[in-house]
Amino acid sequence: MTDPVPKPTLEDITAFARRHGLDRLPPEHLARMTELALNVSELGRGLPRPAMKEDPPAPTFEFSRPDDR
Amino acid sequence: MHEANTSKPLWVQSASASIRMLQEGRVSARQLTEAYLARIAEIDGRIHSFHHLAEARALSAADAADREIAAGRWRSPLQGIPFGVKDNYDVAGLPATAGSRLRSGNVPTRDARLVADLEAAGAVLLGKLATWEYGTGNGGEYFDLPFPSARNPWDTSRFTGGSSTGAGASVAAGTAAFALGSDTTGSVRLPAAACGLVGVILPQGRLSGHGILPNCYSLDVPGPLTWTVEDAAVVLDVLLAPANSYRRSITRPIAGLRIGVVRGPLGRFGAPDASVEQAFEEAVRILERQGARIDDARLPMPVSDCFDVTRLIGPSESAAIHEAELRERSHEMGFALRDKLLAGSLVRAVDYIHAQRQRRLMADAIDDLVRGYDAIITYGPLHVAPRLGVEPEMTAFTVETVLTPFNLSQHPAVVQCTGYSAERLPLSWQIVANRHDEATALCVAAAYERATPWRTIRPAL
Repeated sequence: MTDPVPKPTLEDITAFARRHGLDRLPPEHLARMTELALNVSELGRGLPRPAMKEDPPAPTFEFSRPDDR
Repeated sequence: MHEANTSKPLWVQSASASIRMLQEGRVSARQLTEAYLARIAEIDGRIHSFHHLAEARALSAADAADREIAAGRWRSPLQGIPFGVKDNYDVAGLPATAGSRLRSGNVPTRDARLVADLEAAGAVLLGKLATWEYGTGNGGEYFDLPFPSARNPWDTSRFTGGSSTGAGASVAAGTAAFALGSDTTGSVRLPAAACGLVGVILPQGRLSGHGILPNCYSLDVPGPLTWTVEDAAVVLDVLLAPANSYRRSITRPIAGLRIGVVRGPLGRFGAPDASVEQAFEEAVRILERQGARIDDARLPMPVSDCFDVTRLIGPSESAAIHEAELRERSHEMGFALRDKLLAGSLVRAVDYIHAQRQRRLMADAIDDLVRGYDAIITYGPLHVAPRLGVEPEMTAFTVETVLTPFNLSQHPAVVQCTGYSAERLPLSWQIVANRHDEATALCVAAAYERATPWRTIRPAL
């Protein structure tokens, strides 16, 4: 049996935010981000991976210039 | 076809009926515009469909339309028809707040392409319609934005559906003849469903997204909300002119069309409301009686799996698009936008890429399904319009739908009214067609609409 995934702490998220340019988030928003973090990671971990490495992403972004759209 | 009814106020009739009256000289563009402005003055304090009114601009445009019509110059069928646009569209000289205090004072100097095209076609812009902040949300209503929340005209204690909240409220209540919204995972079709309208999306690139505040680059599409299918056909004819004639397409009989009826799998979303399901089954029988060949079909994956993929794609793209605001001004955001951006900032790039890879597999599988038919029928939202701000009803209405598969797969889709619940709330379904064949979806929707009385009933405000 694997150990449960540790819940991110406020300290974890505060450090993450500082590393990624979100250091001006007020404490209450960092606290909310901490609450959200486990759900987000579970969603990502839970997403089935395509079986074949050759399966590419959806054609996501077009190359037209904005004024041409 | 719904004929003009001159014994009722002008706002009651469909845009198409108003077009016929204009063409027959029985009403002027100014009279139509004044009728809608009067309707706004009468009831918008109760439904809050508009963020910004452009009364003088509208009357000036109406007078210009009348002068041209008098001179025999018809720009398009929409000449003189009043409309509104969601407040995430840019309109030169009008505030563009996208429902946010972050964009207070923002007045663009350009028109969104679709607005420019409609105005060039002679349509009369009434103003900017309410939206959830930045045209997005998390399903909840928190009453923390700088504008009052739009209210559902069928029951003002109920939600309009989001995020094109004002577009839904306005067309149902008759404060605009038609509206433009935008849809990432349902934001045109949810208000269409909740407010008893026709809501249409096309694959990306068919309608220009130029001048619309982006929410998710890879999923955003604009789309019209209208009272009737014919109205939607006219709007699309004008926006896609000269390539299309949807108005001709919708008169075709549906006998012989092969239609797949998709009831699931719904995954963890559970079952639809009994009223939604009952109306769905009756609507299928109506198509069958018109000679459509009905087959049972199934989505190739549970619909809740499609929703999960959008939860990794949408928030992370939004967090990228609005990163500067999150970094500097998170305290000025409403809860829903901020929560989405905070969550999106936590999504790993690796997971985002896998989500887009899953999206491709899902889209191919959905395309294989749709290709087997002329059109498929699905539920839209599984529930009727919830009480505004009441959880878990609010989130269930927005999340528990069969809408996201066709955002992922980029198929044309139409949501339309299939009747009313015992509480007199609109019910709905969704018609999906093959890529580049939205005409068939509109054709099926029109055949259903002609066979049912739902377009004769307006909300009693």
